[in-house]
Amino acid sequence: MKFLSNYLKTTALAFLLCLPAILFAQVKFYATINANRASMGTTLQVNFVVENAGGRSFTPPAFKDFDVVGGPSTSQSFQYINGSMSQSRSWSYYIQPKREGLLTVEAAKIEVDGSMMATNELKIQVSGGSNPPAASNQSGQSGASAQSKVSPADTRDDVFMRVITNKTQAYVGEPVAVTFRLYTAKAIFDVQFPKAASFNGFWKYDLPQPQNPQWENEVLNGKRYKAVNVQQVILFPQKEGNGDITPIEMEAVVQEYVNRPPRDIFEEMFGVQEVRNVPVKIQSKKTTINVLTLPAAGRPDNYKGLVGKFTMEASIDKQEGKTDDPITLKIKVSGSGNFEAMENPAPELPADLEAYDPNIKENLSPSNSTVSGSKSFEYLIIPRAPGEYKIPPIQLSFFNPETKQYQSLSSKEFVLKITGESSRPASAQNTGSGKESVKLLKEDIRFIRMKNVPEARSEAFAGSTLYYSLLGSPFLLFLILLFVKKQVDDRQLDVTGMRKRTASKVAIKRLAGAKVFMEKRDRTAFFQEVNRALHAYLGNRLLIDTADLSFDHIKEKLVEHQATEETCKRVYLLMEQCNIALFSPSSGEGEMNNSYQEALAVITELENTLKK
Amino acid sequence: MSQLSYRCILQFSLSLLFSAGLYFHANAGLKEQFDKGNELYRKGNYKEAAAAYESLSKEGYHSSDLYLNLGNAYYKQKNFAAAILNFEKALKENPSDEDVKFNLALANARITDKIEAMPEIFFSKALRKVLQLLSVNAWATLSILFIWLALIAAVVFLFFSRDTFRRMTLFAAMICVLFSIGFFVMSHMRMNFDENNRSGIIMITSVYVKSAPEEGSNSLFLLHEGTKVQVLDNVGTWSKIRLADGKTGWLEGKAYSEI
Repeated sequence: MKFLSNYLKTTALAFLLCLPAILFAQVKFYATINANRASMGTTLQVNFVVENAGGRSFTPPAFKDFDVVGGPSTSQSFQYINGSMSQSRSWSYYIQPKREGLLTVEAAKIEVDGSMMATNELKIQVSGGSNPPAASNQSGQSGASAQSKVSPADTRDDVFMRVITNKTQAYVGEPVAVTFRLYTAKAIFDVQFPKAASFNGFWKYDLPQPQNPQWENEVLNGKRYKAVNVQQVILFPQKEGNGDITPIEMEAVVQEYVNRPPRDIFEEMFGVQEVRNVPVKIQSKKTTINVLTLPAAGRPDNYKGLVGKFTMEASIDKQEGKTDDPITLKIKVSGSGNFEAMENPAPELPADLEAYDPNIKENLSPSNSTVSGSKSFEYLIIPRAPGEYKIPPIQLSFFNPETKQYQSLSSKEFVLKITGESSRPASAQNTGSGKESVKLLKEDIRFIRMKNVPEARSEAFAGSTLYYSLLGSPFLLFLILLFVKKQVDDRQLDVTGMRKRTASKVAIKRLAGAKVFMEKRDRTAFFQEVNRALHAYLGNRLLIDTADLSFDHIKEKLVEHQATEETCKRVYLLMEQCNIALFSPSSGEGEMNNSYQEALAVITELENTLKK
Repeated sequence: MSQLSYRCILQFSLSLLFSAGLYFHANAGLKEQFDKGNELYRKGNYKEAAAAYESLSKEGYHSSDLYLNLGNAYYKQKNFAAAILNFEKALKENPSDEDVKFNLALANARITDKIEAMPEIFFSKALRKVLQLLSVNAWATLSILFIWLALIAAVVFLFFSRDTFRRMTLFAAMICVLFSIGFFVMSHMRMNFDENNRSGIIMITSVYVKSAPEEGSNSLFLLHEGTKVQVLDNVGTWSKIRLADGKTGWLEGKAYSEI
């Protein structure tokens, strides 16, 4: 039925259908409105209809108290019924009230056959927010023709739906009980209970719908209604801000008594009422819940959005077991609140404990405008390697809207003792050397070795005194050897000292040779030898080169060595004697002996002098 | 030669004689015990074989063979942690022992933790290999040998003076001194290496490695028996350890046995 929605077209049609079958078309000019009670912001439709006349220069009213949001749209219709023709023409305006109170839509004017006609004025009661139904729906509709309309506004006041919430503000996650309740002052049937609606911004928990809804008598604003709960839900706001509970819509058929336009003179006198079944759509009002943000103060780190009141139990079916022998860890959370926001309380398991996805059991039921019950998580844990494992305490924190504080729950720590062999395949652990490991597992170890007997643990040699002395002594030895070598070298290298020391030895050797020549009476050789002995001695002793062995040079050196003048003279005389004797042939036997003695004496004397 | 060096050599040879005497003195019972262990092992009585070897080890005897046999005895008893500990000890005695390496790889394949070792830098690996060629004492002995060789060369250089020969001995002496210094450094590096590379094997079934040396600190990861850890530091009864993959943490000293 497009009665309400397509009002524009049907107004004219309905009007024509209801036209009295009179031959003489009666000229009418009237105004209708689709509701005579409205709240601020609602759009109303006003129609100005002229019947059975063309009409000229239609003047709409001023709409002082209204904003015109649409129109005018015009429509025209012609109809022949029983040979008589009827026509109508209408102007439609869409208006919105500017203020609250009893507002008036002024009369519209039109010129018909040279005379001016005016419509009735329309009164509209405008209220602020929601419009509670008034006891009466009679006000507003005035004017003879207006009553002939089946006004949908009638049902609005007599059949409506209320949204009842148990609170107007709630924290995110705090449950809000919402009841959609249908009120009717008229006979109503064929009520189509709405299907479960979804609500944007809320998580919904549907309360079970009773099989046969019980109609109850309820007096609202002094008027008697029959009321029934259409739908009951518990909503958990999901986000802060204004949470709009989206309206729900339902259909029903309302029995109405309609004042039908009179068809003849009798009907006009007594009036006619018809029972009509009017299908209606009933829509709930938009309701807003103020959703509060959860306080940041004192929010635990592990908080996951749980709101309500909870307790937690955690248990483990055994504390000792074998590898591959499953162990059940059961975590049961009981209480009331937004269970839907609860995440699986995943225990932190050591790597060698394998756990599968938990088996979750829910046992929830609505109570006291919230959802309560319990949710349990069963983890099957399979230890893969032996050892002692700790399962750290399982944490759960929630916000308690009653105390407006966060609370944390913690289970105890579980200790598992696992025995048996590691069942974890080696290849599963490291892919790189996996194959190698598998290969190794098949092999056997190499056999023991029996030949070499173990040794006694030796003391640390490196760093010991012995070590350092052995390491250092070569250096010391080297230094000592170096010193010895130097001594030897010094002696060898001291040529001058050697000459000095050996001077007298050489001279005496030569003199001994001379003595031999003396005994052989070889005079020349004798003196040559004495001469040589003398020269050798002086050369060596005074460090004079053979070339420089002149007497002047010898004397100089002798004086330097503090030899006396007399000694010098003796040396000179001896040297002279030797030289002369070499070139003079004879001078007797005693001569050689004298020279020999003299040479010995001179050398001895010089030796004594030079040693000083 | 000086009095001092005579004394040193005397001392050295005396100590050699002494240790040799000790060796021969203890040898009889030692060989008996070792053979007993071997016999038990061959008969498949691994538990008693291990006990026999263990008693030798406790008395202070050691060799890569002893540790290999002891490790084998534990391996056969499926006590892989103790096997790994002894194989590692054997490797410490002789880092290039193929039998030990093979058996260690087998034992490591049977433990729970599989730790991927971080790749070693080429240079440090090469240095480690060279250092591990010889023990601290062997390096030290080499350094002494070469310094004495240098001394001999020096003596030849000083007191025998045929020209070409002299020059050669001088060169040889210098080379020997350099070698001796090198071996001395090696011995010290090896000593430092051993001190800085103290390792242990986890001997209890499992242990949590903590973030700090106290019971209440956070658990970082779990280790199982047989895992090798490098010991970095000690605080009280706690030790700071590092795994082959670079992870570090603290655990109580009783959880592992040092290699």
